[in-house]
Amino acid sequence: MVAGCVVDRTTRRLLVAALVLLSVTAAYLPVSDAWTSIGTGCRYDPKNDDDGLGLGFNTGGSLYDADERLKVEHAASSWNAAMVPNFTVVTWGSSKQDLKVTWANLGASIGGRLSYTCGSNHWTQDPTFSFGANATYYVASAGRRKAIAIHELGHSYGLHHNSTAGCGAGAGLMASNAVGKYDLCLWSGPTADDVTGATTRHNAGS
Amino acid sequence: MIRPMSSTRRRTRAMVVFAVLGSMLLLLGSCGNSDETVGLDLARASFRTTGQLARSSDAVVIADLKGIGPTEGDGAGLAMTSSQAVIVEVISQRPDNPIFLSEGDRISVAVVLIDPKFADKLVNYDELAADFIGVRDLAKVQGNTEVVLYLVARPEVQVQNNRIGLFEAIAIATTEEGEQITFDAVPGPIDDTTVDVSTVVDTATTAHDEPAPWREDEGEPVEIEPIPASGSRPPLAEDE
Repeated sequence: MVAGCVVDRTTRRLLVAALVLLSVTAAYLPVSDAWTSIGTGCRYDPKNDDDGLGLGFNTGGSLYDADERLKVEHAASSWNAAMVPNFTVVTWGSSKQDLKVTWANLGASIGGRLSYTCGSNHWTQDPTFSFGANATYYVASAGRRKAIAIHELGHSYGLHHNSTAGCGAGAGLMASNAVGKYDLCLWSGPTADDVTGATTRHNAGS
Repeated sequence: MIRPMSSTRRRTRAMVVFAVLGSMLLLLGSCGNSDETVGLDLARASFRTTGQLARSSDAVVIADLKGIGPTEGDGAGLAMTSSQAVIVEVISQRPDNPIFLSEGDRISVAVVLIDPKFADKLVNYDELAADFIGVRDLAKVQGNTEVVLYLVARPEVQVQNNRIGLFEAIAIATTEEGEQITFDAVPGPIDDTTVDVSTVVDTATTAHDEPAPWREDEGEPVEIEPIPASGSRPPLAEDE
């Protein structure tokens, strides 16, 4: 027993009952590749469901690009069309902010970077999605940039990487190489598997 | 006499044992572990072919690399290392290369890599480092004074307030016997592979016939039609 953690008899019984129920239920749940491969399983705080997932844009930096912001908003809209909770745009630094979007010098072959800190499966501080300001041909086209944004926003729902090959059932933009997957499949939004994974994570509660 | 246990009783007992063990793990997890972990996800090119490298670069050169310079981290998991190099031969370069290269030029070369100082901080450092340029990759080219560099001009980046002649190397290869090169520092599956020099030359000269697509004037901002939201869900909007 961990020091400092006192659990009474009733609680212990409830925990055992819950565990048995979980064990039985888990065997019958449908499997989605997008979420079964979750590593950290980190995601937004579910207490924010009511006001949506707030996207704060850092519009003050010298690298800010309004066109890139549009790509992020369109990526968010494509998630919104498929599932709840919805993304909303909030003021940079506001209390409703759940994901910070900014721009950075990341190098010629990097289109985006998501930095996050996790505790008990949830962000313990707003994660930062940085768009690369120096991407070359390989990550500079409009469609590829939107695919990157869809991928990084997908991590907000708690999705990790999808390893399904090709463009068929079970595949999605949550592939570790979202740019390559976009080139192969030309998806303009999250796939059915991406949405199934995100919805399942959302419905799983805390 | 001890009677053999029925299969039903064995199953029941096994379930109880499983439940007790499980609840202990649950208690340990919920009461004792409040540690935070820090992670990083990179959306980046993963190079498979010399053609992809050529299309993503401004120039391909053979250079005398004067060692690998110090590494400067950006505080969020990436680092940049800078070195000096002298051009031995220009294999190809784009017509709009912002810093036109000639044999004998001395240039600053930067390499973006996973910051080794984050090895103990990032929960997924090993996963990232396995398919990205790392310190060990640079160590392979450290002793080679003649290397093949795929360069992208980065005139906007300052190194010690010096903006002149800075390039980023997206790939470094060392020359081998028999007109071949081996890629030693590249993000993606082409790393650690050996190809003919003729392939490098052919793909580079073909790709570098054209100006860089990423520098083309796009005119009006690129519009992407948002996917229409379904009726019951509100569109993305400013809420504050």
